[in-house]
Amino acid sequence: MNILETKIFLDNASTTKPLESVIKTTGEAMHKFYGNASSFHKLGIISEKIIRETRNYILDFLNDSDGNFYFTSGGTESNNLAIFGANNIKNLKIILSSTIEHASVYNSIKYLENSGVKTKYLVPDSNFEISEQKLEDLISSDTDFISIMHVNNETGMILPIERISEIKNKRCPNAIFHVDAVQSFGKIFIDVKKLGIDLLSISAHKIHGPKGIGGLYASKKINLHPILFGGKQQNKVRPGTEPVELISGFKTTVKYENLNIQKNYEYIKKINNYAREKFSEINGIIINSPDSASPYILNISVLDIKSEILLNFLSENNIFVSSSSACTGNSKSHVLTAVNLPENRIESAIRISFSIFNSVQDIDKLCELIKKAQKNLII
Amino acid sequence: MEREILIKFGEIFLKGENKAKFEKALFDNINQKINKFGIFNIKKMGSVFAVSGENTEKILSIIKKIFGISSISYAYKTSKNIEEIKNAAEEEIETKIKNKNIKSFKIEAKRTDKSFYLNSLEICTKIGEFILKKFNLKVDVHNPDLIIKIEIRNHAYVYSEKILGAGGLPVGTSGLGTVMISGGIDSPVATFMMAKRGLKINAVHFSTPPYTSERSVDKVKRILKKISEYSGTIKFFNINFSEIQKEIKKLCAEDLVTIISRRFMSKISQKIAISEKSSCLITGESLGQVASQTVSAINCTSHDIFLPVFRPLIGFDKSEIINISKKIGTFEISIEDFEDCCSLFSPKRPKINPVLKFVQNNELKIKNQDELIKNAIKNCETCEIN
Repeated sequence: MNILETKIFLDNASTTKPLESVIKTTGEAMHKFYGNASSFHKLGIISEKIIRETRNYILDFLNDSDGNFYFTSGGTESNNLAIFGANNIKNLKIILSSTIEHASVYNSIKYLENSGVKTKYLVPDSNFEISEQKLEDLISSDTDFISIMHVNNETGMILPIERISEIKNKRCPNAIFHVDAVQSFGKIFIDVKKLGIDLLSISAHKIHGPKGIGGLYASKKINLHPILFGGKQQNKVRPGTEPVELISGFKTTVKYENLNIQKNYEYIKKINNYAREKFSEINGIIINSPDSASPYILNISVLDIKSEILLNFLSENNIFVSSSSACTGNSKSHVLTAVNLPENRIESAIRISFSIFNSVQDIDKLCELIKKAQKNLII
Repeated sequence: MEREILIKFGEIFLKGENKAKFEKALFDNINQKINKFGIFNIKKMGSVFAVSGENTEKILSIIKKIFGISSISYAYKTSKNIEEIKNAAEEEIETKIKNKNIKSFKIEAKRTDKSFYLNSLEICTKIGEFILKKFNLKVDVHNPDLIIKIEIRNHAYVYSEKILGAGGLPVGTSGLGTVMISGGIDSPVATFMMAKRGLKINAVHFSTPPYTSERSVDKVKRILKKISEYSGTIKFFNINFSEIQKEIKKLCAEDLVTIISRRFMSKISQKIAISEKSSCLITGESLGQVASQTVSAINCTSHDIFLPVFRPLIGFDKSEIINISKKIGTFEISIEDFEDCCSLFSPKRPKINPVLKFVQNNELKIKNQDELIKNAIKNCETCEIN
């Protein structure tokens, strides 16, 4: 591919283009702040300071300056650390999760299930709703760990975190509440205290930061055990030399999101609304995402064209979208299957996900190509 | 102590007058393969090539994959001095004893240089006596744990292990073959087998973008790269088959889509073969494996093809094919999960015993066949894979 060609990147739920300022600070940190944060010399102290400042900044942004924050390699590791680090399998009675979690949560819970832990799953209906009754039924007094995503990565569905937290506090106040916020952090404001969240997973590259860095917030009451063993870094909870350059880039991007969160949300909402309107004018397109979904993600089915085929076709024309979630490759979407969408919609579903680098013109171009695909590809 | 790789030829001996030509081809193939990894010198000594250079050990695995070689030995090279030969034998035994439980040995000596002052038997005796004194080993001429081989040529060579070569004939000595390659398990194995019989390989692949992704073409390229470790450079032709495929799907009987597609693919491959001066086609067909590989289906596929079509797997079971594919390292790539060219367009109930006349008539529904084929060839992407 000629890299100078115009590319329309509509796969921002899988990853995002880094901000120029992120590239700059990450590069600068590699140049200047290459000391190991554990070293006693001056360069080490500078690195340590950058890490501390970033940690404090993120904790402030989440509105819990007394909490803990551990840098990890990203969302998958954060979710694993939350699930395996906060729980002692022997003492676990009931874990509550959902059927539409990201693979890193879903497979971790499945692992615990296979080790004998009792599990319960919230199952959204085909309108992507979870009824009050279901919540009341599933959150019981012996639930001791809840892991629920904030925004679903394939459909943008926003899960009722606040309501779950309320019921939890009533029924099982001692249960640990983990939220996978990889798709919402920096896009939708999260107040961990107000929402009663004990553990929160985040990732930098979903919000224009560098890949390979993320983190896990843990409220003060949570006692986390390491899942990797090594040195004394990060209170031994997450040993290993901290990547100062990535953490610098992370800080830059979180600062940017913090300052622009509302403005960006409005902008993305405008693009999303425009896209929904345009798609509704094209025969054969069904919008799968609920109206109440995060505007950053829009899942649609272009009937009679298999997802991969449309994806290849768009890719040839320099528009990049995703079929199902990028992390699970070729397999059929477990999320759309879980909510019981008809087979023909699952097979033809694509995920369009937005960032501040998109515009309504991108949607026009996408619509034009979808129409072309409908004309030429249906056999 | 200096070491050299001794390479012994395979069937080349059988080839009478052509012997020199075959030896040259093998020499060139070895040279081309190993010189990527450093500077090595190859010299011919009778019916053996000796490869010398720095760190010869690292190219052993490469030489093992060159066709036309029956065996390879990693030998100590010394002057023709019996004391030095003893030292080499000692070193060879010491390394072998470390890794294996060795209790008995035997010496085999061969004297190509008849001017050497000891004959084969005398060499065996002298070295044998020396080893008996040095090591706690017994002589066993019938079933020894270790055979020390000594060859007296322009130098003396000492080794104990004979590594099996890849066999076959040097690539290129049988001409140029054109394989129809998919991303599956069979056609890579067929390619390997025909390269083993001395064919240099051109490969034609049919992709159907956007119905198949760029990754599936990349997969085929990675398979060919693996095969090129044996076959040397492969010229790759990627044909965009989408237009033809769609026409067939639109106009022809559903249960004949696969057969008619394969007829088109064969015709295109033959045209490419001829323009590249290749004199045969190769396919991975195995009799009865799928509907398009029954006797009547194969008859329909290649009835209008005049070049010979080699199907080295025709009598193989799937498990036998898989075994070879695992051995040559293409299996792991072949089983990666991408839609390949035929799976999206394959009919639910393909005709198992298609009738040629009927297929030919049905195919005539596509009016602009020549133009479609011409365009496909004109727009084909080529590259060299090695």
